[in-house]
Amino acid sequence: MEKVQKPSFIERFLQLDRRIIYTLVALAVAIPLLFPMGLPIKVTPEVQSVYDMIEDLPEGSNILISADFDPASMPELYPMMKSVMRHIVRKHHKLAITVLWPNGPNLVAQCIEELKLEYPEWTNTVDYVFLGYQVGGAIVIISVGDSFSDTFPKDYYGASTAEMPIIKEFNRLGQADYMVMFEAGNSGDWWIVYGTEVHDVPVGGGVTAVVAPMYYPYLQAKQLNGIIGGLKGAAEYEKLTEVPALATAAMDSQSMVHALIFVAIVLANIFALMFVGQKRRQAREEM
Amino acid sequence: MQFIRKQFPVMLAFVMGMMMFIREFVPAKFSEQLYYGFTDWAIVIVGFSAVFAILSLLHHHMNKVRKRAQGYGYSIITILAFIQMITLSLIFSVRPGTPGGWEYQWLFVPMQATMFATLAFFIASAAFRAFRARTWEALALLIAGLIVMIGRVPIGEFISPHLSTFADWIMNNPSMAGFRGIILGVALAQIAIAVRIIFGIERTYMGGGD
Repeated sequence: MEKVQKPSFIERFLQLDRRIIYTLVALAVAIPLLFPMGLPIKVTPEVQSVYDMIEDLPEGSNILISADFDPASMPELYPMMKSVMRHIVRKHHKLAITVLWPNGPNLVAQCIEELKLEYPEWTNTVDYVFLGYQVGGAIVIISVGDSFSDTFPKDYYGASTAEMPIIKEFNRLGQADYMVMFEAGNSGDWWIVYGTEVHDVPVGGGVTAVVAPMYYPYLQAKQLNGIIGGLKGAAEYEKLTEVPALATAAMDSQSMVHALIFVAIVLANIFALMFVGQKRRQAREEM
Repeated sequence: MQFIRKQFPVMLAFVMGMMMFIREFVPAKFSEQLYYGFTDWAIVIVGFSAVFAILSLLHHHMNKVRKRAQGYGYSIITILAFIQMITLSLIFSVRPGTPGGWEYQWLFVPMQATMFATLAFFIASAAFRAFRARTWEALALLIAGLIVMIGRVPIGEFISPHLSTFADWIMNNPSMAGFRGIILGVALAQIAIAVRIIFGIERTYMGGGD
């Protein structure tokens, strides 16, 4: 009877049970949330540019936000959107909000409700208008170049937009002094191509970490003035506004998971190399 | 009938395409009105396409249930969820505080968030098993990926400020150059497709069959 060779330590490591990896990931997420480490958050120039733009605009400037995401991207984009909106409210700018994704409007409504608890004087139809969702994607962007009230005859709450005080001064994309788009996909391309470039409106992007590389060419071409990228970008914005919240709290967890995956990849590659060496040695010995 | 199905759509695409193209070079008020008038039409047409999408979804799942195809139980759940959601939404809307809003906030948001949160586990496991430097190109990709992964989170800055500087350099140079190539390629392809549709060379948008 042929003797069954026991797998070596290297082989056993390379075939590590996935449940062990899952457990390590769960611990890497949970432990820093329970015991924060307070790792330093460095503000990058891309995030600083968005902050400076909103900060330096004269009080009462018109700002457009497009929240083009859904709950799948909420952990990354919601904290940054809330942080940017809080900054806009603090600076007393006028704000119009649109949504190009059908599952996004309720997230914006939730954000507005939370901010209204902090700033009860922030008034709907006067300081801000939430235009809600309109079907059409790129066509909606072209259409808001002509008129918000024609594209969105009613706001999210069902009120007629044409008669709103804010719409009398801020009724088309070209009247925006700045725009921030929160993107989980490629709707940001449409905003740049059909909207902000056509009407000469400066724009900053709040994007998920996955799509961030797609927006860097626009940043270098100055078609975007800044990028808030992923949860890290959101944490940087929270640091700038001096209101540490969800993103800041999640930074340690994200760092730990990244470090864990880093170590796992490096170790797997070292052990794979050792495994190849072991096989070669065995082959030489058998010859 | 053949004319309506074959020639008319091509003629319509040619006339509309050329009109919108020429309009770009006519700096007059009526040209702008035409442009925005057509975008209003387009919004209505896209709205109708959503209705077709819904009908197509229901048709697909009802067929599965009728034929008792594999996994038809999921189709029943899809149909029931669709019917109850659309009924509640039409009666009460989906704003916060309504039954539809409640379902959105306490069912849809957690379910979608859970789906994506599980990615962290799968990515960690897949990276451990599959991300191997088997060639020099793979090694370059691996090193770049590792630097960006660790350099773009606070722990990278904590280990060494040079890590984040190098990660930023990768994002702003090689990665950006690659994406610029993709964007330009896509834009050129879009122009080519538009020209093919306008001149009737590309007809797949009319659907297959006779």
